[in-house]
Amino acid sequence: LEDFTKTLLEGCLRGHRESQKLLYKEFYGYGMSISLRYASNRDEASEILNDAFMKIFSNLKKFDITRPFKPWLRKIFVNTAIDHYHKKQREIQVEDMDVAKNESDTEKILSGISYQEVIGLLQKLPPAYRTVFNLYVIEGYTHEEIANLLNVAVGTSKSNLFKAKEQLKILLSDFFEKDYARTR
Amino acid sequence: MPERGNDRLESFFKKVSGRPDISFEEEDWKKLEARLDAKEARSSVAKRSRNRIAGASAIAVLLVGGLYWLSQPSLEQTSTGTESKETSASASNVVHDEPLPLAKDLGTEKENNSTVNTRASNASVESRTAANRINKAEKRRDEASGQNSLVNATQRPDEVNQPDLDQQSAERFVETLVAGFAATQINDIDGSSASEDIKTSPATADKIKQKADTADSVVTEKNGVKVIDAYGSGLTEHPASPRLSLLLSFAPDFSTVAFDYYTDPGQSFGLMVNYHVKRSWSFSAGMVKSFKKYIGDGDDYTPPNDYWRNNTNGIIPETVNGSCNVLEIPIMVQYTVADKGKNRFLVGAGASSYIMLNQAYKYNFDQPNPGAKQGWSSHKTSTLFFNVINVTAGFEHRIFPGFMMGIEPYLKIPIEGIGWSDLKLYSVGASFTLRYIILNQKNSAVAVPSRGPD
Repeated sequence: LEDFTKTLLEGCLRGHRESQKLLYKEFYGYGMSISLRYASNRDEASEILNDAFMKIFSNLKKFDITRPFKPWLRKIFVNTAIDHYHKKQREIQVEDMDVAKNESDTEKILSGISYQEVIGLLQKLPPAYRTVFNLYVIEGYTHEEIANLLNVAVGTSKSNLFKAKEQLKILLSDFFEKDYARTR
Repeated sequence: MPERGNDRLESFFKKVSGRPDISFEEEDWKKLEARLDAKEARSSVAKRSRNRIAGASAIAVLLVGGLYWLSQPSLEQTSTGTESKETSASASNVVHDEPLPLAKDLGTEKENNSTVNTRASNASVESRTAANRINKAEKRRDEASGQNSLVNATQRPDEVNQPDLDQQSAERFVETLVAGFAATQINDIDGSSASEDIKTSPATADKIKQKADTADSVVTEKNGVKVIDAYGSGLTEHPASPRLSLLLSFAPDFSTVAFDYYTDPGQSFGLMVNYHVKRSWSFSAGMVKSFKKYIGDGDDYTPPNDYWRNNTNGIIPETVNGSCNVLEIPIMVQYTVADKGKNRFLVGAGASSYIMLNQAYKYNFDQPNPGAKQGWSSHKTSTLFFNVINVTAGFEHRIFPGFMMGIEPYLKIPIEGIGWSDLKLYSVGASFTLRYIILNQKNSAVAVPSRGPD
């Protein structure tokens, strides 16, 4: 653990507010990058971020300060995002979207798109698809683990991943068509 | 379905997500800071509650200690007692040389001092008289070689029927009487001395009893043996020791999950049967019905697997208010630390079995949680055997013959979780008790003069 992070964590353990703010700032970008991928919008991402930090500050005494902090932080962020997914699951009616029949050429979309735009596309996915996509593609969970985390069948997890990818292709295609039209 | 990592779309999103371009927003921190402040305020309230509990416990302990201290003889009385004991010791040393006119003295005392005063001031005078007598005896030590010893005097057939009354017993006997004139206490009689002292002959006992009666004495018992406060001092009182008693108790019960939060107290009513195997040791068993109220962090509760996921959208409540009705079956061992006059100070330990009669929980979320269950309740009975350790300390005061009233602070420590949420529930409180003595310990109407010098 870096000395700076360790110092901040020790301050947080004592309930020192300035240390809490510095730790928050230090890991804001990292935490927000995870939150944004799971959230439907920035406000929701901010909510996930702050919920996760509340858990971190509350449970810091359980954390072994000699161990790497970032993996623990990441786990809390992902778990908090999943909590939000469950919460939202009953609020949002997932609308089935037509899966595009034609596969677009993904090669051309791999460049010329910013991080914010990619996150914007991810956030257009229904929560069930987005969550499975994030857990599988970014976090590296297996479908069995995802099924257990989200309390769904393994088949549903696989199906949602497939649909998420199909939908992202369409969204990317649309994005580049509009972009092309704009720049023309 | 494509294999992991073979998909270019996956690679793209992985790559992009690894290069976050996010700037810090002060507004987000302000929102978090507000929540941290709110949590701190709640913790502060919890801390105050905890301090109140600690304060109440300290007051209860101080109250018990204070009552015990008040039950002790005053300094003046203690001083007189000490003086008299010293006198007694001296008396025992000279008793062989100075054949104190025991019977005569008794008679004289009976005639001249039929209203032997129980006050310490008179006791002091008597003590000085006894001391003078002893001094005179010491002066005549060398001259007294031909005189009869007190042993012989006390072994006159009309007074002593016990043939094996030895010299030491005689010493003790005289010591007692001298000390009796000085109106000292004999409250340090223990079982061993009593058992030795009961060798005193019935005739001697009668004599002492006669003296005691005259002196407005108290005839009580100790270790199943009647103790006669022959001095009529009024300072010593040995109430009958209970053999079997019933104890009614009521307590405001403070329960907590992890000493973080406290709520209003619940109540606890109990009925216990107490059996003294010895004067100091007793066993008790009975039933206590408790209504317990408690608050804990959602994380402190461990409901069945996937409960939160299936019932609260996967959100663990910020706090959970719980309450339950419990039938407790305690088995306790108690030790009487001190038994002075009308007051007793005792400590106890034991284990309780819990029968959970019903339980109810209310969930508190820090944010709206649509569709989530708001609580859980059950009337299903469950039993856990000896899963709670009890520690108590108590003070009891005899209010009427056969009735004792007291206060008994307690701490109940769980050794395993109880209830639906596998909760480790600590309880503290102070029971107000009323003891009814059904049966006293077996009487042995034998006079116990006093304990001799060790």
